[in-house]
Amino acid sequence: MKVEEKLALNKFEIDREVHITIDESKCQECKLNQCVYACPADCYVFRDQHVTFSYEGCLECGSCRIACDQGAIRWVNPRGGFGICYQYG
Amino acid sequence: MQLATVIENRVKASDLLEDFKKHPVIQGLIKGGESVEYSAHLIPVTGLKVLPLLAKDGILITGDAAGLVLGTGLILEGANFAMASGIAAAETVIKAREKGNYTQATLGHYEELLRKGFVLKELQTFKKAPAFLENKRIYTTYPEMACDMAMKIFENDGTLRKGTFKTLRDSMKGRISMWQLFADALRAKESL
Ligand SMILES: Cc1cc2nc3c(=O)[nH]c(=O)nc-3n(C[C@H](O)[C@H](O)[C@H](O)COP(=O)(O)OP(=O)(O)OC[C@H]3O[C@@H](n4cnc5c(N)ncnc54)[C@H](O)[C@@H]3O)c2cc1C
Ligand code: SF4
Ligand code: SF4
Repeated sequence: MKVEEKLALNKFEIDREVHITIDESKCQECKLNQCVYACPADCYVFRDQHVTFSYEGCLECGSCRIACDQGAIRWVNPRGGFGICYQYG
Repeated sequence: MQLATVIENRVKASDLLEDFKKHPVIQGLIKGGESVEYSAHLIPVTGLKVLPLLAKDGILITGDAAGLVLGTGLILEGANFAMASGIAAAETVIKAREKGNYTQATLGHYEELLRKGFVLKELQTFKKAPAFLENKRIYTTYPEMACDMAMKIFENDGTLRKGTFKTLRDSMKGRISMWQLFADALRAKESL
């Protein structure tokens, strides 16, 4: 089962306010791209020589924030009622 | 999976999960099953190196948020600590309410309760476990040695087998020195 198929099972209430932002200038200098391996939802993808990010499938696990040692990630909780809405715990 | 291991080996946890599900033993167990949701969660297993932040003026921190999780390799517990710390926090709030005082000093009762109960005692007992579990030999050398030894002990193709200690020495060859084995065993004794 692919990650996008798994994410399609989930209920998301996508907020217009972005809860994770990345400092792209830092990503351009980054050699290891730890976020790509840390993220279980493939929100970080290495494409055309650099990392692109989208917050839509985010499971709010916080792994990327810990994995990135460049301090490039700004991470806040989505507003109440938004983001991943787990139905089964 | 430790997050650091995922990053270091440049493998994704999601790929590992799929590989795991393809294993013949696991396939038999999950056959006919259906995925209903996909979730991910970090478990903060840090060990009690220092006392976690438990209380500040107007705030009590419980469960995972305070890092009250115990992982020794054999067990992984956090639900029990979350419940016990929740109860202790509730009792502390009742006391603070009676006094009408929610300063860190009053809320310090919470730490006392955690010390009296099992939460901080258990975490104290196993405080060296997370550091011990960072030893890579636990996940590579020792499982390899165990499989190799099992093969040598249980496989009988007619060639004469050696005694168990000699077999152990053979399985250690090129993998680990006797000194290293003893050092690891000693650390295990102190940590687990
Ligand atoms: C895969 C896995 C297996 C585990 N197995 C075991 C086991 O076998 N035994 C065991 O004892 N422990 C186990 N644990 C650990 C255990 O689940 C946790 O330690 C425990 O659930 C922690 O409880 P908690 O109340 O501190 O935090 P949580 O259970 O994480 O609760 C935090 C709650 O806060 C909510 N929340 C977060 N942010 C906000 C916000 N901004 N606003 C409002 N609400 C918010 C979350 O939705 C969540 O409901 C396991 C954990 C995992 C991930
Ligand atoms: S690890 Fe951090 S700096 Fe590197 S690509 Fe990812 S977000 Fe950017
Ligand atoms: S919080 Fe977790 S799921 Fe969300 S982007 Fe970061 S690593 Fe991916």
